[in-house]
Amino acid sequence: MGMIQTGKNRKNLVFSKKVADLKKFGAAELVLILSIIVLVVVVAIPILLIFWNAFTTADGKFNIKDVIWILSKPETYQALLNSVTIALGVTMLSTILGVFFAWLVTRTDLPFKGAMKLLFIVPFMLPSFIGAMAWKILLSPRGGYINVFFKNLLGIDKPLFNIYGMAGIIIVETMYLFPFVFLQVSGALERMDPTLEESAQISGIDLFTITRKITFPLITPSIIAGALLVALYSLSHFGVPAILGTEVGIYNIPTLIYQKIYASAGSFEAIRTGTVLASILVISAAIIMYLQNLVLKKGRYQIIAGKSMRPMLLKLRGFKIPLLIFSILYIAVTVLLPTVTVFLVGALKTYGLPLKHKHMTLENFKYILFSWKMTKDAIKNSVVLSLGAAFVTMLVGTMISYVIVKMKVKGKFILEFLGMLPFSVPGTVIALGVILTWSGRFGVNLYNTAGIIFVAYIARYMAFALKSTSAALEQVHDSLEEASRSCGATHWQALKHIVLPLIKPGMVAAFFLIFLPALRELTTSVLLYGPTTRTIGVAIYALNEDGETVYAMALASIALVIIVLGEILIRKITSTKEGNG
Amino acid sequence: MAEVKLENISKHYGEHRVIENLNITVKEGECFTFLGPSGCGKTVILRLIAGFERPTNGEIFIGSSLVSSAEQKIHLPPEERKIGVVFQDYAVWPHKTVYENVIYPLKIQRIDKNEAKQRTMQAITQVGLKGLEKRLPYQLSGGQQQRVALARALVSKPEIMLLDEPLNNLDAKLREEMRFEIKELQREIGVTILYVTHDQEVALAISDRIAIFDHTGHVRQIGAPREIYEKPADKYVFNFMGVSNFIPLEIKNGATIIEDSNIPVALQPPTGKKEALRMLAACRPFDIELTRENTGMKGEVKRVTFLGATMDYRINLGEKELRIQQDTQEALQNNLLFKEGEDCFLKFHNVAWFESQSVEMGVS
Ligand SMILES: Nc1ncnc2c1ncn2[C@@H]1O[C@H](COP(=O)(O)OP(=O)(O)OP(=O)(O)O)[C@@H](O)[C@H]1O
Ligand SMILES: [Mg+2]
Repeated sequence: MGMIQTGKNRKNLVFSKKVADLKKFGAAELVLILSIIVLVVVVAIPILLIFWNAFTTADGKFNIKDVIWILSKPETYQALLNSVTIALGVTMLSTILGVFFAWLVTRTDLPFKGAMKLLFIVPFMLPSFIGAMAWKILLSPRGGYINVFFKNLLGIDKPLFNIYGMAGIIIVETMYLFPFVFLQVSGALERMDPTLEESAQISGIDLFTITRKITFPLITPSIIAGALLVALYSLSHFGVPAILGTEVGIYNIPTLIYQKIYASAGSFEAIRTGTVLASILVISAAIIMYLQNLVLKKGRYQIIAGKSMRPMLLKLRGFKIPLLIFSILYIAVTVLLPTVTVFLVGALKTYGLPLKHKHMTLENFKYILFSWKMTKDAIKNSVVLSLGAAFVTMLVGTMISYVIVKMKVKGKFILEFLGMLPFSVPGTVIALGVILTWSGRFGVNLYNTAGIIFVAYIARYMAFALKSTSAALEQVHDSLEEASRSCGATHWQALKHIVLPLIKPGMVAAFFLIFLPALRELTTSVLLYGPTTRTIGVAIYALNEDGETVYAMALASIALVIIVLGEILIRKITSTKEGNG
Repeated sequence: MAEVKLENISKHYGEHRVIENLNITVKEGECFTFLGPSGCGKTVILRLIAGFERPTNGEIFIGSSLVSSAEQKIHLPPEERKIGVVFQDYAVWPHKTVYENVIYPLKIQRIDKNEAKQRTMQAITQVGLKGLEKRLPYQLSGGQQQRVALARALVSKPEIMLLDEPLNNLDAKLREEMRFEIKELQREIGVTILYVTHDQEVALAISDRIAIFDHTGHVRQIGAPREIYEKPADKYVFNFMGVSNFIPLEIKNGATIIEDSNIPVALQPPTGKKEALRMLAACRPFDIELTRENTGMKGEVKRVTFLGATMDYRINLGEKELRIQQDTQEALQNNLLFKEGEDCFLKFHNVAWFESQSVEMGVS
């Protein structure tokens, strides 16, 4: 072929070479580097610093002796043991409850299944530390309303049930974590191809055997995945053990970290213990995440998506009504009772009065909302911080997801790896890492400011943003963007006109998925708040600690109202999205 | 107007070498078809030309300018190549109406509002979607979406249009209409069309020239439709262009017989190819005549299928099964309809000769 260029050709050639040279280090690489920087600064450095602090001496030498020494101290050893015991107990209980209720609402002829299915997810909405406080009010050994009621009724002087202690912690955590298993398993049961079961039925095998031999093995991956999620959350859970354990000297890893940092005002020794414990949390979380991926990958092959399906329903016959009553009772006790308690106690004139109408007032709510600077500030802080964090995290998350899902640039794997990190880092660890990173070590000191909570929220909720926006981006086929490019649109125009409008629902979902949990966040902010930067969660927690139970509950009521309104809104938004599809 | 030139283009995905050393020049104003089986790399070639992929090796010229070069690390972004593309999966934007989809390229080019409106309506009319402007894509059938994509590609009057199977979702009648429209468009505005398909009928009807690919992504022949149909370069091309009969023959003691049998065949290999011991005779179903007069080649009718205007036969000739078709009307008139199980005689017309595979192997 003729390679001799005419003058005009050569000019053209030189011109396009220049254009290409300019673009060689173009927008793609810039965005990639920006994304990597964000993840490194916000997530990777804090975690690395935790490990660094845990495993090196003050002068920077590797040191495992101190780590072993810290771990063998009775209090740390005991906290580890407690964390594991609680996690095991909660996981087991949640799995039993979750699988049972999931089976009940998908595979039996239980009445009102649709409504029941929604109700079983409601515990997700309630912040577990508020639930724990309500249970403390109901079942504390001396003043608990239920205990007092039965003491008077039966004339006994021992409490009916003492909510303080390991049993109470496990039971209360289970109430709020079992939906993880419930959602996974009911989802799997719904997606499962019924023909497998049908063919077994046709060959004359009874339903019990089918369930045991076919259904159960098929949903095992989902059960394990749900159980692992529960274990992950429970292991690093702060709220419930802080309220039901600390009082009687029971600590788990997160509450011990809190106690160390809080009591010692950040001494080297305390930070060291904190980082060692946090390292253990990170490692175990990583292992759990790894196992979960493994199990879910396997599960994907096994559950065949059959969309229009009509599974065989087990006829409950005589058990129908008793099981319905049991389910309703379960929801009433675990959801309704604590919620009502929060509202009623929040309206009491003084804590300890009987829950009667004449002792109720709306003054508490008014005082908290309009007069008391501390609570007003807390509400304002929480709203501003969660709105800001949700907005920023959503935008940054969208950018990072875009690079991971859509772009063809070298070095993307770094981002894919970094993007996995936020999924497995518990809130306590984030808080600790953020303290290490943003307390002047790198020239920026955000300690005791709202800024430090802000960066912590971004790190903590990045996983949600990544999950939601990358799912949305995967729905947008590459050719849609390419079609826009071939119409003459620049990369940026294609993003603005095609990609962004198409993933907007995913971005909105990400926003609310961050905003709502951030609004009621306790674990991270309790380690980070300063005198003027309390959040709603911290304020409720502090009020409760100070014995201001009534105000704590009044503030909790307000938080619950905001949360429920938010949940309704997000449900509306996501359901209209599905309607369009 | 512009020609498109691919020079030594290779595209590898890791170990997978999809395209290897491809050289093609598509002339200005030409309708050029890439014809090949599924997975041979047709879409990849279009994506290279459109600028969505970078070649592993080689250079691409559009008009006189070099748009892609692996050696010189040149890559002009897609939006600056001024190419209209119809994607295999339509790529109609689900959040825009038909009208918004089609007017988009004009908006990007900042065309005057009135003109843009008028051109958009014209394009929509051209593809037969008038009245559906306000619909969203999910309210359209697959074929209608495909036509939106077509209208969107042609509305900006590009110099080059890349069409990836743009008609595969249309019914036969509509396909013919759209085929005609595309051809008209090419004549009218002189656009260079690069057309991808695995349907040889469309390819023959629409193209000025065709490149035939095999499944490994190599070009087997480039030529005008008639040239390819009448003078296929090899067995592969012949087979690809339609239903084919291949009869392996050998020449023994001066007589032509079916390979590894003693059945004589009244076929003479073309001169110059006589020295080969084994040959492959190829012909289309219509190029074998069924008769009752003894031609020396006797077959047995295995199956008859009535297809309306044509009759479709499976005939056994020794071990070999042949596919033969005849015009129903003509056969009726000449009393040449055969029943299953009946004997018949064969007469060959238009036989193409290829080197036999086994001969090649025997030599090497
Ligand atoms: N991004 C990619 N990464 C890896 N392999 C690819 C990629 N794109 C295409 N291929 C491979 O290149 C080969 C050719 O693909 P291409 O899409 O060009 O086929 P095609 O000829 O258009 O087929 P069809 O007629 O089915 O559309 C296929 O084997 C495909 O798997
Ligand atoms: Mg293709």
